[in-house]
Amino acid sequence: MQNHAECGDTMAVAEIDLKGEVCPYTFVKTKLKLEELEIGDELVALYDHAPAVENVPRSLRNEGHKILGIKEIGDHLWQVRIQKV
Amino acid sequence: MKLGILLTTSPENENTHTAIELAKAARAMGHEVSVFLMEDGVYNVRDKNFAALSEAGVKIALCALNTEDRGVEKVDCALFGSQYDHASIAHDSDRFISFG
Repeated sequence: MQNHAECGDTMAVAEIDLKGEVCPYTFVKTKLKLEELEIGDELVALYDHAPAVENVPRSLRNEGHKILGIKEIGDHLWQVRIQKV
Repeated sequence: MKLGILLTTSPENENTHTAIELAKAARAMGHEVSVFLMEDGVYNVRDKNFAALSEAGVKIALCALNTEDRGVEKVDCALFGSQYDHASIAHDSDRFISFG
């Protein structure tokens, strides 16, 4: 699978809203979404479940992906930026 | 050898004693032991014998969602994780025993 650097086009940014989801679906749905993307693409995920904000980034790092940022953007609402590797 | 133990019953169940003694014995023989707690099994982190297991080198992880549902406070002796950690333990273990 070619990534953006090799074929010179711009990186895509996708979004997924997982508000209301809890473990394990927070991880499973994030991973399924990542599988649709190209290497190098960024996924912006929204969670409102505190354990997910700790565990999903840790699990994705374990799988080799890069966590670009974790930000609380509202009351019990977090945005996690993930880069597919 | 890597031994994985899953415990889903609460501390008053005899499973707790069996799982603790099994983990201790395996560690004493030099095996790598990982325990995953879920459902009522998460209550076991309140048991001081479980804290002693982690001091003996047993890795303990549990389902954070189940602790939230049950009001189990965070403790240092366990990773408050997810089913990903459960799957990782099962994947990495040579032997996996479930007490439930």
